[in-house]
Amino acid sequence: MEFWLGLYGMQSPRVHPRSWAGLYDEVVEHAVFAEEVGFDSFWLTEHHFWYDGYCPNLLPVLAAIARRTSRIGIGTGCSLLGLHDPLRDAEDKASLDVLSNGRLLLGLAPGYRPEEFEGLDIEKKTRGRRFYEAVDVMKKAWTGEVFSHHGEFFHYDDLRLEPVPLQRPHPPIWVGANRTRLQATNIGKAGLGFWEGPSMSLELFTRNAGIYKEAARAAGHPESAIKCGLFRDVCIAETQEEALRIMDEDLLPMYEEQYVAYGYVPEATGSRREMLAHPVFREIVEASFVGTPDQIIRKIERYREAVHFDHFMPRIMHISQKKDRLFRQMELFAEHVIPHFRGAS
Amino acid sequence: MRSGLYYGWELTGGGGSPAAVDLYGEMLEQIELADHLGFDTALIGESHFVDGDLTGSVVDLLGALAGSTRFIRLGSAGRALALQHPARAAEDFAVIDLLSNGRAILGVGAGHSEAAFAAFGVPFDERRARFEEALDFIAHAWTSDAFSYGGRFTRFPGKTPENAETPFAHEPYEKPFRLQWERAGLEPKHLAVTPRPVQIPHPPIWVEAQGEDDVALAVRHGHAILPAPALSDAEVVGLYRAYTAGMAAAGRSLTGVERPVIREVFCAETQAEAVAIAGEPLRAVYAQHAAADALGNGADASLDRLMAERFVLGDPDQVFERFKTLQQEAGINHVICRFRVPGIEHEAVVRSLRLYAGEVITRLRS
Repeated sequence: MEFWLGLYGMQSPRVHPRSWAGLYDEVVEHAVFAEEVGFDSFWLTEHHFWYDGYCPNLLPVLAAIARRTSRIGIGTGCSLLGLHDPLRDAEDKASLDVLSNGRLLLGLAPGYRPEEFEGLDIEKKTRGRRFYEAVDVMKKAWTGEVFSHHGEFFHYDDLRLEPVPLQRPHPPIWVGANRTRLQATNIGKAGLGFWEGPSMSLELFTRNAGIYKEAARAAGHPESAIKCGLFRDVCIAETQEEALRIMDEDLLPMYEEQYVAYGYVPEATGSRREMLAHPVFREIVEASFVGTPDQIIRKIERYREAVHFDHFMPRIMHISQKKDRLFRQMELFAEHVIPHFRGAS
Repeated sequence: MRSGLYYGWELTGGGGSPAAVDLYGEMLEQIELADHLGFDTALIGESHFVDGDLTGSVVDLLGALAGSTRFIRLGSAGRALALQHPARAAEDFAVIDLLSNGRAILGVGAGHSEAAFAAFGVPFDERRARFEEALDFIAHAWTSDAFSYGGRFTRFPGKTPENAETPFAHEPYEKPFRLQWERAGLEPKHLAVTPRPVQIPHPPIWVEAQGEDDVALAVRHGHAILPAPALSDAEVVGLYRAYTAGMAAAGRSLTGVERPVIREVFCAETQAEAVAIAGEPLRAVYAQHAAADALGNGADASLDRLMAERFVLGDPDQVFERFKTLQQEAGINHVICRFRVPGIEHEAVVRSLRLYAGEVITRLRS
């Protein structure tokens, strides 16, 4: 079982403003520490044109991390292919895989925020088709052979990419899933890894993972290509009381910021109690893994009894976190939870 | 006078990705060493789909260096802005600037590879117009909290009442996203390119100059020029005369404006040793340029002539004197040296770097 640490977006939100340069300095430091304590990979997250400065290009940041570490995997969680030029992506991702000596992991997603598509002047409703065509283009480019491609959105003639990724045929690809049956089916059909978001219930994860696996097998993909990952918000501490306090001080303000900003919860009535009563909020609180190392281990086991998965991403980094508290959580997770699952498959 | 390093498309591939691991690794090590030794700047030339070329992804390389160096400034050279949406370049170099805490330089160009434009599906004959609009867009992006832009090639956002034939109906400002913008005090009809870079008003922009068209364009936008690497000393002097005159005519001050030049440099204890190590590898690179008529005037590529007109191969005194001459003739205040081309081994490059740092950097500064 592999443990991925995520997700960093280097945001400076209204409720907890930070210096962006400071956030970029810290993310590298945190990745170095994650490698030291024993996480398998470290993941960043992308958006564009957001007021909080959400990181718009993960690759140079991952490159900085790669140059300061030697073993830990570096991941895009997710790289928004619906917004990118797949040819430039193929170049940039291949170079990063070479630079990092083959440590790149690719989480890919179409993107969904209207502003991003408007900003780059791309029809949002085409994003699903763009996404799969872009994956196709990148795979062709990464063969290292001369390739041509004529699709709905992209056209290339007789190109040859150099360098190609060090990992052959290409770095592992995961797709960040939304809640729909359709997307689970499409990810399965394409034979890519299925990576489930942080707020889905166990029931929904079980259903969608089942749909995904069935679609992948029906499309004839080998068992080795069929893989599920689980992504959860985690607050871990020596005592449950302390873990709940971390949830209260770090995790909930992150969702508070997002959900009020997204308009799910009216700001005027935004007391913590009222927000917690809101269905979206209840869902996230229920889906989060909050507790002692033993409690976290039991939760992961419970999910694994329902769906077999070999990749778990705890998001420990939330908002307004103090470094000592964050590093303590990384240590606790790495000392107790990771060894429990090592060798398990 | 400042000193820097340059790496360009002569980072030749062909050995597959395992060889590329070593080539990238050597380049990064050299720049990291240069950071310790007191060099001011490292630039990496960007090009795409030139056979054997490994520098399509300069942003990755600069990102790696932002993490592993402390003081050296980090930039692209000749990045063809027309090949992508200009917001992406503004974002990318803001990220480099943040990662490096204010050390980014955006080196740009109109582009000269038809193959690259064909690959990215951008009309080659529109490259200058697209380049100039991209420069304008990036200046807006880096100096505005939120803005909208309606250019010939770029609409930002895609659909606003000002710039769209059919204004948006409810996208892009539908719930749940609209509130995000209103809370930040931004007009919903505009967008902001974020995050913002560290440097104020923005990272320096250096426009690659092949000829007087490029100089005129740089003057219009008030940016520095970076003469193309393969130009002769005399051509560089000519471009800087045009630049100085143009800036004066435009009423722009030259105070504090950087005047960089890229030269092929190898520094050794004696000139004979410098020539023995670097002469033939450099001559071979320029023979390719000459074959492609990139040197102009059908110039031949004999080593003697190349050394007289372009290459700076010598002992520390000779290197120093050559740059002093360029400073006097063209007002150069920043020499950016390419110490490595294919055929010069990593260890030899490191010796040249160390000698230059020990004997030339400080003398040029004073």
